[in-house]
Amino acid sequence: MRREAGPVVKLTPKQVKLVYPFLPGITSRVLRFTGRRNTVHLQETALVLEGELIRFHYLGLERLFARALAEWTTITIPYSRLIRVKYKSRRFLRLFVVLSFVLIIGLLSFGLFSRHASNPELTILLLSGGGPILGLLCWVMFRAILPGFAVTFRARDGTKTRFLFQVKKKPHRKEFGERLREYRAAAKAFVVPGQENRV
Amino acid sequence: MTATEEPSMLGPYILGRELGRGAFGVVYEGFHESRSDHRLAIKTVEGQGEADRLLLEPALLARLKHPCIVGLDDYFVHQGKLVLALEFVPGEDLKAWLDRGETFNPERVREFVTQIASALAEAHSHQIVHRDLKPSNVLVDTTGGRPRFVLTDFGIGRRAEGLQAEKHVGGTYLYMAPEQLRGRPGPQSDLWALGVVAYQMLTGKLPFPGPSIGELAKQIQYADPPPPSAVVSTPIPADLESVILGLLTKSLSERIASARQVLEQLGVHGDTKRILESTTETKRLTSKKQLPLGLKLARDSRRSKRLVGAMLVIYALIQNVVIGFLVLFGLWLFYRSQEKVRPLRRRLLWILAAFATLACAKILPSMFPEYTNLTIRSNDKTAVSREIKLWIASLGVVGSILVSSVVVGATVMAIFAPIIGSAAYVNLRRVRREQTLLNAALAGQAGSDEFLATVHGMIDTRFEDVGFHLRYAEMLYSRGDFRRAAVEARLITRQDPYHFNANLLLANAYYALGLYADCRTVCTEYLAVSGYCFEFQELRLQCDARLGPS
Repeated sequence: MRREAGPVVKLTPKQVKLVYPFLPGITSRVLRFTGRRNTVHLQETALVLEGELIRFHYLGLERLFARALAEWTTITIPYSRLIRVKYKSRRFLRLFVVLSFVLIIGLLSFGLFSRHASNPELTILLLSGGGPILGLLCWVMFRAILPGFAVTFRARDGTKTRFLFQVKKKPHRKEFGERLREYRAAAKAFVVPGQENRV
Repeated sequence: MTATEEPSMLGPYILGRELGRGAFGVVYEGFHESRSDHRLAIKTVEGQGEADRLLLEPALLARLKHPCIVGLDDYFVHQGKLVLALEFVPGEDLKAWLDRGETFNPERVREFVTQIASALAEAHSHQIVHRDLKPSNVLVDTTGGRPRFVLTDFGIGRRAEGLQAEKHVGGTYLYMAPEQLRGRPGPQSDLWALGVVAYQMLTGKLPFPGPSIGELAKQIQYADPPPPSAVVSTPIPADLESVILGLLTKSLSERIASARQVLEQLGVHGDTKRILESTTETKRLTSKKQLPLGLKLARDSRRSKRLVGAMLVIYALIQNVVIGFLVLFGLWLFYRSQEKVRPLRRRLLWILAAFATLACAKILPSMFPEYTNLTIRSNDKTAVSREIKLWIASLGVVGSILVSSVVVGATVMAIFAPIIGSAAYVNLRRVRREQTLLNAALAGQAGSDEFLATVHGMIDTRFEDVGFHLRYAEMLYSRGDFRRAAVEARLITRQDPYHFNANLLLANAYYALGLYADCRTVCTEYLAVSGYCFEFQELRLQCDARLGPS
């Protein structure tokens, strides 16, 4: 595959979606970005996140007014401060969704084409209930559980901090992962042993 | 050596008239001895000692095939000189056009930007950075009806490979991006140069004229150029002006990230190699895109304000006129009280007022039910409910469906109105940010007192907006107010401790103030996590030289 310097260096809002878990982290702090203008930029000097960061957390209630509670800001993470970059394919979750989809289709087919199919009330009930569920599953499959990265880094105050983002297209995911790995490996060579956590 | 002394043949190529002469070589018109009908540009480059370096340009050019990049037919070394047989482009370079004072209308500039951006997209996709995009390196072919802009001279181009731990010098100062000046050119540096040339074509002036190299470097690194619409009276389409200003943004994270993004923003999609066949020339621009930037922002601001207002009214009507407004007012007070502009005591008072208002919204219904029942939904399940039911029944089936729809809609809007309203409010804040910056820049030169005061006023309400804050700090630095620049840079590093530009600005401000020990500390701390940042290494060495052996 041809390398594309432009789109891969910076994941634009169209290419990336920053997400966050529903519950707060136990062992690490979580960066909660909201909105659709967030970017992840692999600069030569550091990994830079730009976006609307939520400063308040009310056990999930903040999601309703997330954008009003967020402030546009920048987070810079030197490559040497990255502790772990984990690619999350979410294969099992996607498989589960696909199986659920197939199961519901099967149930619907059974309901519609079995000997009870002549009952119009049952048909309406099945179609009105099954349709939205299938739609929801499609949305979950194609929009909500995209593969992405979970990045853990050490903030300046020493706390472990985490953020998650989904990359919408496979070539971008691959390129981004490769470039990040390359930068991390290169940066490691320049860290003075014992000094990486000094500041 | 003059042109007449040159041999009339170079290898298999017959040389004609001299087309141009540069620091490292000469370009002739010529052709291959076996193909006299195929005109070529024969470029000879004097050897600089390193064969690898000499062969870099043909190696890079050989990878690129694009209508807006000069084509390479052949290359070889002849008597210590590199000879390149390049595509012959009839016409002059862009510099000659600009020197003659030729004017370019916005549509022509759009053509230029799309063609060169597509050429850069091709180069960048091969990890090639041009590093010296300037008018003299762009040829204008006017033989067809539509001008073709051709990018030439990859002489100092290089492959972008991993992290740069060494300084790379080269380029032309007037067109150099801030990071290129510091020795770290990347693909986005080419985009900056594209922005400078487009600005020059549009306005006839350079965005950073800088009388001396030192002053120019300072302007490039810290000053904001006036927007093109402030320089010329011709209306400039919003999308074109946005792109040019986006290309001239100092921060890499805020600058347009790729050449493809430039094309997307100008509405060009598809294969970049077929840019000349695209419909950009004849494409009818919508009125939205033709609108000047200022008007577009004003329109967006108006729309967001209306949406916020509509959502407030809808929410208040659905919930309860009095209670709804009290709740919203309380929330607005709470939100505004978070702003850091006010002293702590006043902020606490605002928060108290917010809670008092919210408490009132809770208590009032029980105290004055007759005044607080102004709502289209009612909780009274007895008398009112019965009356409504009777009224609905009198409307018939269609009326009942309509009323039911309104009730369902009202219930849904009770949930979504605050969400939509808050999103619109955030959008309004974003538009205002751009609008204020543009208006301030249009009103006076960027960096003027007025501009500075406007930006300062906005920082108070956008304390966490690191990019915006940095612009303010850079403006202070460019005006020579190093002390305040250092304070602001230090505040930015509280928000974003590893921000490269903020740390560099802080270190530079300390250095300018003569606080060499502090400067060295900042550099050392940054180098501890990013040892490859030679910018800090250089500064630390300078501090060491000033302080002497510790």
